[in-house]
Parts: sequence; structure tokens; C-alpha cells
Amino acid sequence: MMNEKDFDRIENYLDGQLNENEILDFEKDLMDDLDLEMELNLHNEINEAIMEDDVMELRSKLEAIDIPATTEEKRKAKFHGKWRIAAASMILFIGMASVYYMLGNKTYSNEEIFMNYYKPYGIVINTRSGTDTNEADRILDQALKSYEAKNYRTALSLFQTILEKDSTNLTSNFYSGISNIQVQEYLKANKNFLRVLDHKNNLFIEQSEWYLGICYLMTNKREKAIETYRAIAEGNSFYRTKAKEILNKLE
Amino acid sequence: MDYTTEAILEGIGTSNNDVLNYIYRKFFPDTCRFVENNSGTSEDARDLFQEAIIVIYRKMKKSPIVLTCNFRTYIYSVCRLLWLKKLEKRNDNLDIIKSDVVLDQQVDDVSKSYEQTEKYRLYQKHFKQLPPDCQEIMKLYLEKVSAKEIAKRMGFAGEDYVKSRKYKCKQTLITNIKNDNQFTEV
Repeated sequence: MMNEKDFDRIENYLDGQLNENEILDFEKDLMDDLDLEMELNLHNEINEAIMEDDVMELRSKLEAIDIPATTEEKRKAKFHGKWRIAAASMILFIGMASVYYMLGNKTYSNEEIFMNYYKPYGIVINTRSGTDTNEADRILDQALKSYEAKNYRTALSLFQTILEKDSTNLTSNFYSGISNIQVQEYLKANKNFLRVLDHKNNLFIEQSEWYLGICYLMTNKREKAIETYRAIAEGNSFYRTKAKEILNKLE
Repeated sequence: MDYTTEAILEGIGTSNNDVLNYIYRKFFPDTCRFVENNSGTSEDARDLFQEAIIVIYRKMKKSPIVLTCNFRTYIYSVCRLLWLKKLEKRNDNLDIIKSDVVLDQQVDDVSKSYEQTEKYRLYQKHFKQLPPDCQEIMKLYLEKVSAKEIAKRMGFAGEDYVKSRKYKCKQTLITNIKNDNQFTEV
């Protein structure tokens, strides 16, 4: 495993952040250290792959091509249709409620804050599992696709399959949390976010804190919500400004 | 409507939906039959066909392809070569295909392109699974947008936040890639 110092050097080298002497030192080390060279190649290749928007677009177009559907796929399509109607009803309800709120209701209930500040976390998935992908990856891929298609109950059941084997899986816990909010299972969502936060070092910490506050609001734990949003407002989180706005409405 | 070989290649180059659909409709069944007759499933065939088109696309990005055979023969040969490579990796019985291989010279150089396609497919899969803000920051960094400008565009607290977030995103991406079972294969 690459140490942090070398990881930094590689990134800074590729980003053009090293000074002349540091570049010379780094290039000298590259000559003697095969692992460092391989790691640099990997970082470089990943950077190239990330910038291949055209290939990613082509791949997603190819994936969308309809090759004669199996019975199972047809069944799923029918199921998705029902949930689209449910989602549309939900949006209509939220829209009507927002209008009512804007027409002059001055107090801020937990539900009003929810309606004004909550939206499910976005995701962009356009890769399809290859046949040699392992089972857990395949299920995660399907779960994320269901999530993206707003089929939250299907997504939840797939995430659950992963969590039964590994209850600490971060991606599954985080997106289960959002899916649980979507189906109004706030206590379950709360647990999901706490599991992500327990891990302490991952990419979903800020997001989980934010959504945990939402869960507290929707389970009438207003004090806990205030405590959560105060911590966010005082930190360096992406959600800092919104957390301050919520605190102003809650306190 | 039928497309000429040139029109098909041009359609792949521009990711034209009509041409891509046409390719699947006209040429996929041959590949599917071939894979299914040689230790594969229809799902394998679908993956293989997709990768073959991307390999062709990558090749065209480097230099134009001029075919001396028709497109049906070409894509079938590419798919056959790629399937052979897959089976080699799986240590499967290759006799069936090897005895049948009389590859057009024009598909000889697809191997290198295929290796890149396989690797980058893995990297892109994990990249797409990162939170959207991570994807955005990493792309902007590679476009040489300054941390200050990224912070401004994305509404982040400041440069330091952008730098630490980018670091964490890249670190997570690399860890996830290395932990993928396919990593050692590619």
C-alpha cells in the first residue's frame, strides 16, 4: 500500500505543484523505485480514464440499446412504471405544500424545513457490471441503478442483501439511508447514517451528517437536529450555509 | 435502411444512436451465437460486443480505419479475437477457437486497445461510483481549474477544503480500484 507521502508527491507531481528541486528528487526516486513508478502510472492512467467523457458517453449509449428483453426485464419495467407514478404524486404533493408555505405560513415546522431543504442525494451511474465482476459488485451496481431510477424499495432490498454480509458497507449504508428517507422510514435511515459516521473517514461523512439532521427532524427530535446542524454550521462542511439557515428557522 | 461500411465507422466515431442500434440489430446475433457456442453466455456476448465497439472507437481516435473487408466480417473478427483473449485469461479450453482462427490482419492490433479498454472500464466504473462532487472536483482539477475557482464554482468554503476533498476523493478512488478483484486481472 502506498504511503501518504508518496501519494502526495505523485499527485503534486501530476498537478504541477512541485518545485524544481522536488521534481528532480521525485524523478530520481522514480528511477530506483519500481513500485513508485507503477503507482505513478496508475495515477496517470486513472486521470486519463476520468477525462474520457466520449468513451463513457459511448458506453452508456451502448448499454441503453435494447437487445430483446427477457421476461424478467419486462417485469421490472412494469414495476418501475408504478413507482414513477408514485414519485410524480409525491412531487405534486411537495409542490402544493411549498405553494401553501410561500403564501404566508410564518412558523417553521419540521415538515416545512424538510420540504424546503431535503432532496435525495444525486448519483450518476453509467457502467454495467461485466460478467467477471464479483457478486457483491453486481448487486451494488443494480442497487445504485434502482436508486437512480427512483425505485427506492427495490434499491433498499438490494442494499440489504449487501448489508447482510457486511453491515459496514459505506455506499450501501449511505444510499440505504436516503432510500429509507424516500419511503419515510426515518428511524432506519438514522441507523444507516450513524453507521457511515461511525466509520469516521470516508467520502460520505458530510452528507450523512446533513441527512441525519433531516432524520432527527422527521422523528420529532428537534433538539438533536439543532445539535447536528450546529455542528455542521460551525465546521467546514459543504452544507455549512444551509445548516445555518436551518438553525435560524429552528431556534 | 442499410448503412455502408464507411457510414458505420463514421457513426461509431460520432456515437450516432441510429447507427449504433443498426450495428446491434444487424451484427450482434452472429457474435452472440459464436460466444454461446464457445463456452459463453448471451450476457458474455453482450459485454464482448460492447467492448468490441469501444475498441474500434479507440482505434479510430488514433488513426482512421480503412477496411478491405465488410463491417460484418470485421466486427466478427474483432469479437472472435477478444473472446479468445478472455478465454485465455480464464484458462479455458481454446481448441475450438484456435483451430478456427484465420484473422484478418486488420484486427491484429486490437489487443493493445482492448487491454486499455478493460483497464479504463474498471477505473471509470469506480469513478462513476464516487459522490458527484468528487467527480466534479477531480475533473476540474484535471482541466487545470484552480482550487480557488473550483471553490467559487461549487460553493465550497475555500481552497483548503477543495484540496483536502480532492485528496480524499482520489485516495478513495484508488483504494476502491485496488480492492476490486478485477484489478489484478487487468
